[in-house]
Amino acid sequence: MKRIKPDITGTNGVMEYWSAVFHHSIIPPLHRSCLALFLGMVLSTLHAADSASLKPDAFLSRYCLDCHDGDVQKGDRRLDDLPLNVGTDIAIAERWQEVLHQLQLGEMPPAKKKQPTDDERRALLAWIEEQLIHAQTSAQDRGGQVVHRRLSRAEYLHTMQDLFGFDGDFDPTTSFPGDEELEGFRNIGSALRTSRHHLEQYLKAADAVLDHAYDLADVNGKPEVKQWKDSADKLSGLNDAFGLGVISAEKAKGPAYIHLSHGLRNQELIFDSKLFLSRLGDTGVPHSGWYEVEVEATAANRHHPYGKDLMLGGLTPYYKDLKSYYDESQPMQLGIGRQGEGMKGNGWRLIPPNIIHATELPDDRYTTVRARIWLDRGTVPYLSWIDGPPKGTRGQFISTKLYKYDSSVPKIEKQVWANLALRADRDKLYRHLYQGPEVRVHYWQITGPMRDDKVHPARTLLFAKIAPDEKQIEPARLQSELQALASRLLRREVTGEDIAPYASAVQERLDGKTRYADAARPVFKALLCSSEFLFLSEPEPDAKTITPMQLATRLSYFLTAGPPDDTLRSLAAKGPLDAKAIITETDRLLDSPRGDRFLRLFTEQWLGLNKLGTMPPAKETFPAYHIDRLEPAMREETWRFIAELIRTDRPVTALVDADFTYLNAGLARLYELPTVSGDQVQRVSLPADSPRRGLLGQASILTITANGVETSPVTRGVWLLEKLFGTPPSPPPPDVPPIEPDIRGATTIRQQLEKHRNVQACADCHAKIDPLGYALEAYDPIGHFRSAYPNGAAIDTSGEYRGQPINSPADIRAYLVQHPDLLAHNLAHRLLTYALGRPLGFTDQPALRRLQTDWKTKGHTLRDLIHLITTSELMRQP
Amino acid sequence: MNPQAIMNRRHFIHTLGSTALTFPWFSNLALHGAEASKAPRRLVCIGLDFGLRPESFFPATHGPELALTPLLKPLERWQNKMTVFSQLEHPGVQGGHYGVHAFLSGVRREQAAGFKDGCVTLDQMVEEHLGGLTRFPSLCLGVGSGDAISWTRSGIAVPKLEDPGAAFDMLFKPQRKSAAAARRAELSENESVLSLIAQDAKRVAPHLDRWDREKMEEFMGAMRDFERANASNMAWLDKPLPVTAGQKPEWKSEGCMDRVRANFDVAALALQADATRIITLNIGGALPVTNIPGINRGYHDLSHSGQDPDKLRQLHLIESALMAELDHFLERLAAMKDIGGSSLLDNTTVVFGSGMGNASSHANTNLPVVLAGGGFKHGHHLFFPKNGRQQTPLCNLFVTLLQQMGIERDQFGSSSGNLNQLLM
Repeated sequence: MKRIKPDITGTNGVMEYWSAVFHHSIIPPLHRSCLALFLGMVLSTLHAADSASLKPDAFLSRYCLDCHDGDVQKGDRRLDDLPLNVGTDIAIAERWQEVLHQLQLGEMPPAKKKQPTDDERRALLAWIEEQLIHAQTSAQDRGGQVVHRRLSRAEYLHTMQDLFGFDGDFDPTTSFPGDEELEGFRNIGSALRTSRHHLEQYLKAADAVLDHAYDLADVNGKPEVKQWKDSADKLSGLNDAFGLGVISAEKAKGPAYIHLSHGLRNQELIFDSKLFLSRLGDTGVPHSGWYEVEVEATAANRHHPYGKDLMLGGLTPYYKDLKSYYDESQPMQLGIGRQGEGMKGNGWRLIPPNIIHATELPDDRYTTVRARIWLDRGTVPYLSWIDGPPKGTRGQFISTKLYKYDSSVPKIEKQVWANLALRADRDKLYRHLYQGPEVRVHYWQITGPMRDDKVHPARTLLFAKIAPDEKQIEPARLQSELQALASRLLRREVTGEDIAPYASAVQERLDGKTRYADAARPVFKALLCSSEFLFLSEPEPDAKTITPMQLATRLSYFLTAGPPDDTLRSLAAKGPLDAKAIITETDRLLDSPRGDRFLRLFTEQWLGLNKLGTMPPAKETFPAYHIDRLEPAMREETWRFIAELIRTDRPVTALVDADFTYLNAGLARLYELPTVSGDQVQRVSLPADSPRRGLLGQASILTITANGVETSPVTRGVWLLEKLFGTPPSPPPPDVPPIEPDIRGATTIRQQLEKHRNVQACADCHAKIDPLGYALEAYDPIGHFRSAYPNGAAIDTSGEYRGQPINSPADIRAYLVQHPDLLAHNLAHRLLTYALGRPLGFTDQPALRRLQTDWKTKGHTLRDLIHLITTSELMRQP
Repeated sequence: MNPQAIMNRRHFIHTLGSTALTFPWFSNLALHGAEASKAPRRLVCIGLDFGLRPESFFPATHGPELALTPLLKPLERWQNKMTVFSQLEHPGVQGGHYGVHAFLSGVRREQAAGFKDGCVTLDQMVEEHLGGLTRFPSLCLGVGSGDAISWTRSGIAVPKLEDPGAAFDMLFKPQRKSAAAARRAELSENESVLSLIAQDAKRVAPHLDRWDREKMEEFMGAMRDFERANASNMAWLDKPLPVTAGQKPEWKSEGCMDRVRANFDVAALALQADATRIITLNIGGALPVTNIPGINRGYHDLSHSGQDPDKLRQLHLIESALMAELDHFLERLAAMKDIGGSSLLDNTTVVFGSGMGNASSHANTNLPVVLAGGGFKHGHHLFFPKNGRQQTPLCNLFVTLLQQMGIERDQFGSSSGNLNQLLM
């Protein structure tokens, strides 16, 4: 077997190190290198002789190379070719940094292997540190580069919202290519690419933004108020031809109606049906603005003859033990909302509808409901029965049970209906027989748009001093208008010279007949697609420091994923921001509604929540996931949880142990906790012994660490090590076949893993991974508690992690609470990476260490960490 | 309009200077129509998200006699006109589902930085060379909302068309006059907007340091590429649409395999009309398989068979139905006449397979691959035994396919050689 070859010949590191020493000498370069080589050898020998017990190469050879030489390369790491002279070679330094890290954590050598004595370990650590400190100091001026960073998709959207004052659901980024991830984050400059596909999308998006902004800015004058209306009575004439599902007055023995038989969890009455007389659905509303929606409706049959049978179908066991969640003790609620992006058609994306207005309907009384809602151009409102029973209920109900209740139907006919229901028109059947609860809608009308009196921000931005319909404009006036606009869009003071090409492009198009709004539009578009808009500007090549505006921009994109607002900009315009001012601004932005964006984006990317929905649980096995729209609720629970922890400055250990969480009705059912009403998540207190305390008990985490079909202790264990412990295991060796689960007999995943662990190559890592995963096996692939596997095999959650028994999630929780440094180190690293928009390099280590120490001294609370980051030297480093 | 003239007008962008990517196919524009007597070569790649059950797919024996396994049975009539491979894989590509998108590149997008051509896929590499010869440089189809299997050199997933009817309209349906005028106006506005952006970028660039400049060059490269694509689109605007005698595909909403077939049908029509020569089709996990009689679980669920006999039976129904669709597609291509009396199949390379080896264990090793179409020595089951850690990269096959398409490359992705023994 190949053994260590101390590599002190021919690496650049050696050369550079020593040529730095001899920089001022008069020795000719060639001789310098030879001498350097020679001295290098001497030094490495001397150095090793100095250290207490063992030379570094001997240490590696005795404790590491069995597994990490050129032949074995366990975990894809080899150390036999790692040069002993770090010099200024960052790549070598980073490899040593990893050795240091593994030794400090006690990860290596693995417990089962020969262990170095404490003295040996200490001596090597000291040696590595010394090497690294040297390398860091000499590499300082080139490392830690902030790369010209393209706006991520989320940042692009929020930038447009902030600049133009868009506050609806308008989103021009839905067809953008997905942003590349690095270390899980999607705002890392070096990873974010730009291609012609991006450019194509940027051009399209700029058009969409300008269309929307021109409408809001009244470029073509104030829009005329219009009215659209439909009534069930008028539509009932068309009923049979178009299958609108209208119950005529004759059949209803009362006012004609269209029913909303089921609730928010399914599709609602969306006004965009192209068949409605109003024709609103063809184009949506023509202008953005406030619209009056008026609906006449009746809540019918709140109390019904079907009992719990209203809840039928292939529901998971936990539903069966619970009261039906159509709760007839509560009045029925009519919701008026707007159609959000993604509401149309795509059943896989469970985007929560945007209910804006909810009204309790009195029982069996014809009621008029009015609401004033904001609608963006091209969208339509919709109605829903918020607390109705879920999707699928009605179909299941009809095909299996309904016919048995109606005594007026002869038995033979019931059988005919039942057969029919299995394959044919369920709607027809439903109308014929159903006596259960429904919301009946008789009439609806929409009137608008109405605009606020105050000038819209889109107008102030684009047409500050030049009106849209001006046709002749003084060059000086045009220049100053465009200069002001560009300064705002490009986040810096734009000079007259910079803006000249844009100004002349507008001037060329102003031929006396063309309005400013039309002449300037391609220029607006060009500004929105320019590199300076799309990339966060960074200092000039030789800058020693960043400008106050650049710092303001960094702070703002970190804490709000958008550009600096007026307050921050005027502060930055006054001069450099001191630490006190930075903390005040940090708090202001963090606590503002825009701070939610940071808390949501960071949480999702750190914990990997964007994996939710990529492999959705099967509809057949986990209907609750779909019926209850658990996916958006899961996301919401976790980011709101993290948001409260940070905003209320909780200790870092609260990540895994906190006395509250955020639940909606569906999640509370999943967790088998007392009823929570409604689809919006709300804060819920958790008792001291609740298994749902902290991240480990949250369904989002338990779902992304399963694959939608079965759970894997390995995936869950790896997730914990990576995302919370900050000690990710190495990837599996390529030549070991993965486990193929066997669900036939009583074999459990645990028994299969035990076999796997008999393979030596797997044992070391799995000893750390599996016990953590086993402890979470009591949760199924969507985070519901279970006591057995689907094949009946019992679940065994026992295990041992680093000599400590781990038998339940509570034990992992306790372990992390006892080792807060693990959580703290990891979180500080993650948060700093996100804040800077770049991976932390080797040269950032001293600053990171200082930050870690300061944070520990201050008591490891979460808001303090944000303050330490925003005031850190790294934030201001060019 | 002469495309060359447009490109000259756009000279200012070239002067920005960069090492970044270019589209070799623009140099080929002049070739279009020049060699009308020789049938062009086409490429169709079909990628499955969940692989194929290895026990049902791979023949037990290897060599010149291709044995028909349960999953190869539906392809019986192609027994001597196709090749099946065992133990080809993408070295270093792991991650179960997260490795599937690398099927046609051999490189996961996270690994792209370590490869000369990034994570570009076979089809897009071909597009770079031949894409400009047809109105649609390539066509990327998908059914069942699956993974992206087509990636550009810059690491962007090529958007999939998930609706074969819309794909048909895009290919063959004449635009209304007003829509065509709007399109022309859009393309021409793009030109003037781009010239402003380019001037601006030129002004900013000198103020950037090395790292930032790299990103800026990427941006400028994107601009040049877009500019050329814009010019090409403008040029095609004045040429007649491809004509098809085929019908717009229809499928029943409750169907499953007829959706797959509709995609194959559009693909065949597109090739026949020479609307494009490069097509990918992804068959994803949201395929509504429960609409197939005898199946009561989702595709993903069934792919995790856990060796359960009932799940395996249901999975086999899906997988053999997919093989039958492939058979149907090959048959359609074989029946379509091409230039010089050959059939379309004679001049098309068809790759069918998956970046997933065994879905039940989430293994990305031993990938199932079928190669069909003319120009190869077919009728084999080629087996590449592992030599310790030495795997045979699937990219070796791709090198050969590139050469077969007339693209002189001896390296692609993680290739360590080629499989030129397949060539006639």
